[in-house]
Amino acid sequence: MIQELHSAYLSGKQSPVEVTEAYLSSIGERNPSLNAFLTVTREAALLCARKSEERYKNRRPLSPLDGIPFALKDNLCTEGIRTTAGSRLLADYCPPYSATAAARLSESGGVLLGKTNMDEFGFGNTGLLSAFGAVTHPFSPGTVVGGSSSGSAAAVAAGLCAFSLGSDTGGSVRLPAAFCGVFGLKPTWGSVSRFGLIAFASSLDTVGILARSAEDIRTVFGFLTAGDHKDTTHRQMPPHSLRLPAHPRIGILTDLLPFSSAAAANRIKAAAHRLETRGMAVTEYRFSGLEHLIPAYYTLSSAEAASNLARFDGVRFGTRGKGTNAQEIFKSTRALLGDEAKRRILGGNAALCAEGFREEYLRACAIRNHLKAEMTRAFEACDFLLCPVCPRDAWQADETSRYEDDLCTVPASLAGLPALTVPFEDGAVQLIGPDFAEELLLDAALLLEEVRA
Amino acid sequence: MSELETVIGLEIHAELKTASKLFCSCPSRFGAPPNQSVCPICMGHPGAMPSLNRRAVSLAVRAGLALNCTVAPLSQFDRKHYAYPDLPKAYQITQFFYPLCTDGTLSVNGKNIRITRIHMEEDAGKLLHDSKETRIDYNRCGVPLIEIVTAPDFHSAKDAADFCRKLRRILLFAGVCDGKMNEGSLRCDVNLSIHRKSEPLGERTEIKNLNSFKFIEKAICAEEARQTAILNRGGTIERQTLRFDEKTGQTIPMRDKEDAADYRYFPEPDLLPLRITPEQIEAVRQSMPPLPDEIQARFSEVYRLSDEVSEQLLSSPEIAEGFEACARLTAFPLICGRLYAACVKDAAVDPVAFAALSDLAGNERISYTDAKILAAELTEHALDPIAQAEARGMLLIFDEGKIKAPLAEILAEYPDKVQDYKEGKTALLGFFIGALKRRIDFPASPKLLSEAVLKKLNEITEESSHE
Repeated sequence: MIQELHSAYLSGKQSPVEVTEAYLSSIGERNPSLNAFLTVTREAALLCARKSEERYKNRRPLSPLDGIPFALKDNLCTEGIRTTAGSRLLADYCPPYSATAAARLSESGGVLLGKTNMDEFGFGNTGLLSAFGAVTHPFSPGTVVGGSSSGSAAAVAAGLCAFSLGSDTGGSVRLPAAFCGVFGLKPTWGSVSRFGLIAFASSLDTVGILARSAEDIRTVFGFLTAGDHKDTTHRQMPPHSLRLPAHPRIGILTDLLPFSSAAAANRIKAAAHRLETRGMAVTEYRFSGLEHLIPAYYTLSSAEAASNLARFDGVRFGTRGKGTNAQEIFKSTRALLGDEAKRRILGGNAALCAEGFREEYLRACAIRNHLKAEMTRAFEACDFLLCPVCPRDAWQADETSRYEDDLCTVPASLAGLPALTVPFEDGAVQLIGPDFAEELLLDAALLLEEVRA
Repeated sequence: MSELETVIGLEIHAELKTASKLFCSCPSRFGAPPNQSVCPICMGHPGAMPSLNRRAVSLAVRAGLALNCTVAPLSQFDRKHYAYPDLPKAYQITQFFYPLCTDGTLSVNGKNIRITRIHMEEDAGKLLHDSKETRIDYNRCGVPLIEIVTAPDFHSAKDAADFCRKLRRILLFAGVCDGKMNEGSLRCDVNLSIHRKSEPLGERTEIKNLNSFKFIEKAICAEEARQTAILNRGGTIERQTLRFDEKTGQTIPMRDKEDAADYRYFPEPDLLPLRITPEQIEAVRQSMPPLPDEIQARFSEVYRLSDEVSEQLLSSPEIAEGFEACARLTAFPLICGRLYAACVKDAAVDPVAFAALSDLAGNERISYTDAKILAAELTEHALDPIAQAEARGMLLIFDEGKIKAPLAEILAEYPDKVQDYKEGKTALLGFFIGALKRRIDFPASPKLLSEAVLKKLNEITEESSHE
């Protein structure tokens, strides 16, 4: 869609202002019931669109993204624009700077429509845990949207923006993308600068993309991978990206299937079968230690989350609770956190304290290292892996969610690997690749689309 | 039962002399208006990430080399968590598990002190209390520090204080730290316990934030006395954090810091492990300015300066260099050293003029007292020493002829004393020299005077013995 819009702008068939106004209008209509957007930057968006239009008139667009309206998950800092991370602690926080990923899109001419709703600080996979109300599913009322990039997924699915950025720590882009029927990319850890992404678990966090097509994901991804000296963990993409070879070998993570619903398992089999009929080699890839992954993920991510959230004490920025001394202010401020946030922080601190460190944190690190080794072996035998995005399909909002629902997404998170949600049949499948294999995964996704069609 | 022994270990924090903070590009400087040197990174805003200052790493490596440490090829940054208003992220980025340097040594007063580790960390902000409220200035937040930890190898307050003096000077000369203790560039924490020799170490207390050598010594003595008194009446020492109260001269428990807090250390995920190659270490070694011991050896061997004068000339690299610039140009480096040490405190002096002045004094063309006067003036403005000495009648007379008459007068005036001298009271030489000095109305070379008097007295004595 992005390429089509860009061509339309170039040919004059459509204009950035027109398109932006149409999106703003849709947002006005549908957001009250969807609650996908927390902040809509109407005036700024129109100003941006007008400038873009000028550039197209003078045949000098900044890039293929020029004039393309997009949304940002509300944990990406935007200078002067309210950034809440879905939390009461940041209800009125206006960052003094912008996240690098956000700035890159704006500098390329992208039109920011607003900030999207999310589970508080990224804690959650339902879209129900924002301090500012749940996100409603655009097509299946009563069904969870998925989280934590819930607003981003709903906005893209409902046609309220051309694409959106989210963040994926344990599945937070992939899962809501699957539940909303859109594409969602979790890139290789370190490939997109995290500077300005409000941190949940630093060693797992990635800035991800949600869009309506694999091409759109590809287009946007190209703008996000440049180096950033402000994030020293940033890793440069290799000069020649890995592409899908002529005779790809696909590995199915069959170990995940017994934990998955029949629908999810059948989808995998169907996708595999279709790709096989195209001459691709499909095998199963077994890996050990599956039963440790959820506990390891929750231990590591909670430990880092407890650390990253410790700074919210009301003293320098954000909401300040009542009190006449530091201790009182700390307590009353932190009381404003949601229950899930409190749960993660308590668990995280327990894993880091003197007694817990060896037994919990270090053990989780060891499990993670084991998984990384397993995955490295996997990519000697396969070009990419295929598995469900979630063991079960989107559940009803009044059902309980379980940490186990992250089972299919945490492997790629723990191993730092790129992974892509590809809508398929009545749901979605997940493709996982080795480091820096985003292009390969997108190639595979296109093939799956072809096959489907 | 063996006697009580005091055991002391030190933790010294030194601010690295960098232009910017450790993890952001905010200027690292003292005395700026509150909260003017801050940014989202050092203020711990959500989403901000640290970016390591490489100059700080070089200076930390320099400190390690200057203190004979092993520099780790791989070290890492860790998060140390505690909640306090002066700590924006509620964790300090430090090095806990794998510090940059280990196993160094520095000897003081003939004792070899082991340096367990040197690691890098960021400083916190400053709390300012008044009767109504507490305010926080974050300018200092993120300033690069090295923490130098010694083994508990000290047994006296003097050794500990002297160690700090020596350490400060090494860091100053290495260009690592400006050593301005009154600005907080160097702070010392003391860990002290008392035990009987051959028994295990006792419970230790920590005295924090001592920022003068005098206070280090006094605080140690006060705490030693306090613990000894408790032990002597059969009590037990409680592990505590204390501060030194200058007014009362006592160590007082600090009420606002937690004892034995669980810092929940874990590796800093936003920073890659710190790799230092042998080539990089060598490059730092090559760039290291001369250190005090090396300079002192040269002062002693080449210029024959006494240890006392060297000590004074090594008060700062600027003084040491300034002296050497002069010493190279004079034939009398010894006198030059004494003059420099006595008269030049911080200003620079013109080496050519100072060397000329040293030559004048060395050749006894002017008295040492007058040389000091001119030396002091040289620190304030340019002058030509020879011209000044001439104009102000400072030039000493070398003419023996002018002495003859006044000397004869004096000897004639004090026949009893002359007799005493002849009979062996040679100390009276000083009396005659003094009398002669007061009698003449022109400045004379002390050497000339004393030689003349001695010669005349010896003549008289010989004449008598021949009679």
